[in-house]
Amino acid sequence: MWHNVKKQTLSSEARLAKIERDKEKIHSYNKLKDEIFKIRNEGSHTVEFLNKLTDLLGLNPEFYTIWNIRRETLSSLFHQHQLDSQSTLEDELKFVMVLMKRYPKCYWIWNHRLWCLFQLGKDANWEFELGIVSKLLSMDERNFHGWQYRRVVIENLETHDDLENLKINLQEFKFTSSKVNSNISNFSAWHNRSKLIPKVYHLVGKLNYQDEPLFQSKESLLLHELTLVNTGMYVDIDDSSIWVYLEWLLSDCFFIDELSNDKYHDILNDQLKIINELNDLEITDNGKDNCWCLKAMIIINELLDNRSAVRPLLEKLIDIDPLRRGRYIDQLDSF
Amino acid sequence: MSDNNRFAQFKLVLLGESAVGKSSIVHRFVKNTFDNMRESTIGAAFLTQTITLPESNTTIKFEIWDTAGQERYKSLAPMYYRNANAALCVYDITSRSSFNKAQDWIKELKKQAPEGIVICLVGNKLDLENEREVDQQEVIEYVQELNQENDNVILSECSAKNGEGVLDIFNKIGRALPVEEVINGANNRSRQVGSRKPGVNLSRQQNQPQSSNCC
Amino acid sequence: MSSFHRAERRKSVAERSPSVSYAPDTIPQLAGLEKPQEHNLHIGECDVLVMGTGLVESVVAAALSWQGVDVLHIDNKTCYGDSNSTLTIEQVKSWCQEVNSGRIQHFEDAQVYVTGDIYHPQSKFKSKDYGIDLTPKIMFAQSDLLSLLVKSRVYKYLEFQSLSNFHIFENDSFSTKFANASSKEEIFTDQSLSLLTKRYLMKFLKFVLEDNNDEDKRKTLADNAKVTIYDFLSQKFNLETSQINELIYSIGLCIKPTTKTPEAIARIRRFLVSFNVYGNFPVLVSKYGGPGEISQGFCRSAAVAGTTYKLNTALTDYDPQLKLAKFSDKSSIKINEKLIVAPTQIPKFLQSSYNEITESLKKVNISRLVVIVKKDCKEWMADQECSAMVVFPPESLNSQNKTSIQALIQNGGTGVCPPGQSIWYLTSFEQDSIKAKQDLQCAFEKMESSILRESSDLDDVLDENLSVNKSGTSLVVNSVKLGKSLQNFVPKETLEIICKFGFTQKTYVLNDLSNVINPTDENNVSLRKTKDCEDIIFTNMPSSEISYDGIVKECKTIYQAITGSDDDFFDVDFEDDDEFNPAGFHQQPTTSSSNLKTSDNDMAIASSDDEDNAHPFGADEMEL
Repeated sequence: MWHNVKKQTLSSEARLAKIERDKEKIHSYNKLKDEIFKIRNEGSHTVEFLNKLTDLLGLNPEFYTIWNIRRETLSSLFHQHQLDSQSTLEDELKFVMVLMKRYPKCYWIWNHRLWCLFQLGKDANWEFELGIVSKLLSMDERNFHGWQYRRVVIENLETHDDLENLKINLQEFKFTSSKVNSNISNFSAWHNRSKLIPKVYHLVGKLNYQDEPLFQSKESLLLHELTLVNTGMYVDIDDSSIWVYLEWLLSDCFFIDELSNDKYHDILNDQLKIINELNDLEITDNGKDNCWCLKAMIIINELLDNRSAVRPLLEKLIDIDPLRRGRYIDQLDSF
Repeated sequence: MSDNNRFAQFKLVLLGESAVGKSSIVHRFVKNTFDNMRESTIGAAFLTQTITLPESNTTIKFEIWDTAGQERYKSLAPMYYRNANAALCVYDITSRSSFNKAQDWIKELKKQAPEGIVICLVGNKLDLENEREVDQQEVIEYVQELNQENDNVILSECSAKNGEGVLDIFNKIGRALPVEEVINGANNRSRQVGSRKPGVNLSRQQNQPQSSNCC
Repeated sequence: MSSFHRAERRKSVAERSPSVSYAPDTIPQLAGLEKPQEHNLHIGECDVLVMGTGLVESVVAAALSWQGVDVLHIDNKTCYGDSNSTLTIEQVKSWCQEVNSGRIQHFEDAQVYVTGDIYHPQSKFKSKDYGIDLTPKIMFAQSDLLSLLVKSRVYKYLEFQSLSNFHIFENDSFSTKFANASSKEEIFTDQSLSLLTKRYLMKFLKFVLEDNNDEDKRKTLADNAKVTIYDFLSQKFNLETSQINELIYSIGLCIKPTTKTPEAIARIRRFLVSFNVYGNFPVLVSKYGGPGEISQGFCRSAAVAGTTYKLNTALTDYDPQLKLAKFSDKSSIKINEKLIVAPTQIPKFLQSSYNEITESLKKVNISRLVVIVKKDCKEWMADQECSAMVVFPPESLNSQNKTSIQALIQNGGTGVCPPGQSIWYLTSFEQDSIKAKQDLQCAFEKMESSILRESSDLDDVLDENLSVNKSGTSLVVNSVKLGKSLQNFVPKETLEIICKFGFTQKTYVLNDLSNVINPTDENNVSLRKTKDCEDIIFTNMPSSEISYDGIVKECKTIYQAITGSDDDFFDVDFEDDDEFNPAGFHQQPTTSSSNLKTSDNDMAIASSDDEDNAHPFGADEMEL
């Protein structure tokens, strides 16, 4: 039939054409690369050379050596007064921005951006960077590089004024809240939160800052976070980031050191009860225990020194989680 | 790239009888600077070309819509005229009837196009001066008459074949367009004229964080 | 079915000017600058005649044209869009007259009321400031038509806006629960839902979002093929009626309580997967009009690929032996292959064949009420948006509606009416058209009192409520803001109506789209055959579906009926037009700064039109 023949010829034509096109691209890429290394070995740093680097990075921003060469070249050109450092660095930020939009997960681009900002020194606009990274995280909220970059930006926004710093970090805390609310599986957001809580708490205490009721006592803070994490469990039981955060809440000395022993035990027992209920629901729905629930119950029982309760839980885990069987058996041996 | 360069974008539509050389004029306008970098316009739904007005340091980007033949049986869709900022109404200086048609198109534009549209009445085929059927003086008088009624019609002649006067058309249009309004209006989002589409850009999907975590 | 041979067609547009051997001189094809085909200038023949510029017909014309088929596309009306038209108020009036005089098949009982305002010489607004859709539609961000718009580049002719608010009317009040914003977030933060409910809701959403090939999911759906979605949700997921209603009628946009589980799950899924494709909203609407606008876009694309357009032209005669078609303008043309005929364009001599084809098919009624009001109805819309949906589940109105009523609201921000006004499109799926009218009127009244109340001056309402309810002001303010019970509310002002317009449309497409999704020569108009008209393919009237679902499938069915396969349906490989151009970032040494090249006539044509370069920070996107 006609359409079969046609389809074949067209697609093979198109395929050949694509290969041809790609071949050309690869060829010019390789040529450019060879040229760059040749010039580099001659040690010549010119604007023309910089433009070649721009072309190559446009084709492949993952090539980290080229970024190194680029920085070397830029420094040298600034030194020779061939280029005005401030305006060039500003152009550089624009270039990086366009690449970043195309390759948001390329580490070297983020790295280069920070280099440019540090070179700019006090001319760097960190507030603008915060805006950019917020926008990026709104489009790709779990971008690890974005979160890491955000922390650096915040560090650079901080001043010697504690009150300012508190406000900045409170803002950050609220930002993680909104990210966690929109997607509880945001490991980076939970992680950032665990870093921010002690920092903010410390500043609140130091300044005797009254406007933030949540941070007035560690206990109320802990209970608030537990409510959040409990909701998370009910909403998505199989999300690992929640359970990791729960363990941090229940075992980090930041909280524990300030709780009375009785209070701490009450909290642990409450959690045990909530998780047990959740596990019962899972048993009703799926006919079996939930691994995360069992593991959390083991951790809590250990914290409570309830050694006898741990064994049966481990035995269940051996049954339902055969992948990690060996580990549970090892754990069992230690009892 | 200079930072204080101002930028505005406008939609320009073509009108006129078939075969008066509408496409050739745009061809000439766009092609003159058609270089390898221009590959980016491939697949675009319309042609784009930018000009710079040095006196105001303004870059003007034209989004040029051709009729795609839909004018032949008077079947241009409302979409064609929508938000058009400028129109090239083309006739052939060697064809009396094409000038009459151009006048009809100007009437049509007044009915269909947004108010304040900049209309450029263009006589093409200037290279065939000795076969001229449309007297320049007559056209001038016609346009003067139109402009008395508060219209915004400019006048030009060109040859798409040898390029004479083509740049001049777009130059004139660029200067007649409400550039200031657009640039100032770009700050307050409500302005529609010439600003970039404010809605959802279908060519840019968001990253979907559905799949497994990256860290 | 005979598919016509490749040798008989001219080369496809891609073959004629292949994008691969691209030379700088080539003009992009879609720009419409391709030299008109010589033979088109004096048309003596074409491969396919398409009659009617509705959405399906327009997409088919473009698809055929891009693959090298010579298409003549006509419409017996003076505007584009046919049954999918977007009309001005004047056009609505004459359309109603035509319908009531029986000249437009499949439409009945058209009524229109227009206030005198619009004709007042001092009136700020004119008929052409309005764009009223005959078939209002919303587009899911993850849907086949949207992919086609992007692939075909037709989206470049259009503008799209987001729609996030889906309101549901229940117990005499409107609410929006988790349908707003990202569903997950709402569920996570909603204080009114218990942990247990949250758990079941999330479990259900997870089930819906599970891959359709997942064994367990397939089995569950197969086991519940005959179970209604209501029973499924209440029994398997312990959900309560208010949550179930929202899932079925608002998120799922189902129309009947008897909707079966697999269909409803597919509908709910389409909503959920559409979140975060283009942003935190599930649905898009096209500006200046819905299907009418999109039809025009595809017609332009078809024209660029070589289709000839002739509006206000009807087929008057066709000789199947000579394959000669004659038109109302006395011209005639030889048709090499097929005629595609929309049901509103059927010439007298084809009527009996069409009747024969549709004889045994089930007819579906769709009743619409369109009201243009002098209010922007911002209260219903999400921040920065200009459209919203309101849904009335079955049995929620005093008229005891048996099927749901769906209402799309669009204000001046969408370009379909002047600022400060809005168009309400209400649709009923009730088959009894008298009952449908009652339901529509009833729903309209609820919307009217709701919008009057929500936009009332707060002080007025407070006074009024305080006398009734002395339990505490903050509570009252809240309930007013959220538009709670309407029972005791008597509006002080009335809603100013610019235009009220209603009609009934008939179609052979079933409400669940089953005869479009799985068409056979038994169930689908386009595939059914009759004697004496081998060359004719009838298209369907628009379906009752509020989304664009089913459109692409219909187009492919027709395309396949003509070419024998839908393999190369829009097989057009446009070059990517946002190729990154690093040259824009080249540096010049400081010494020779700011050397803007100026040509002799003191004007320079700047290079590069890359959008990213024009706005170094992608201004609109990275805006802070």
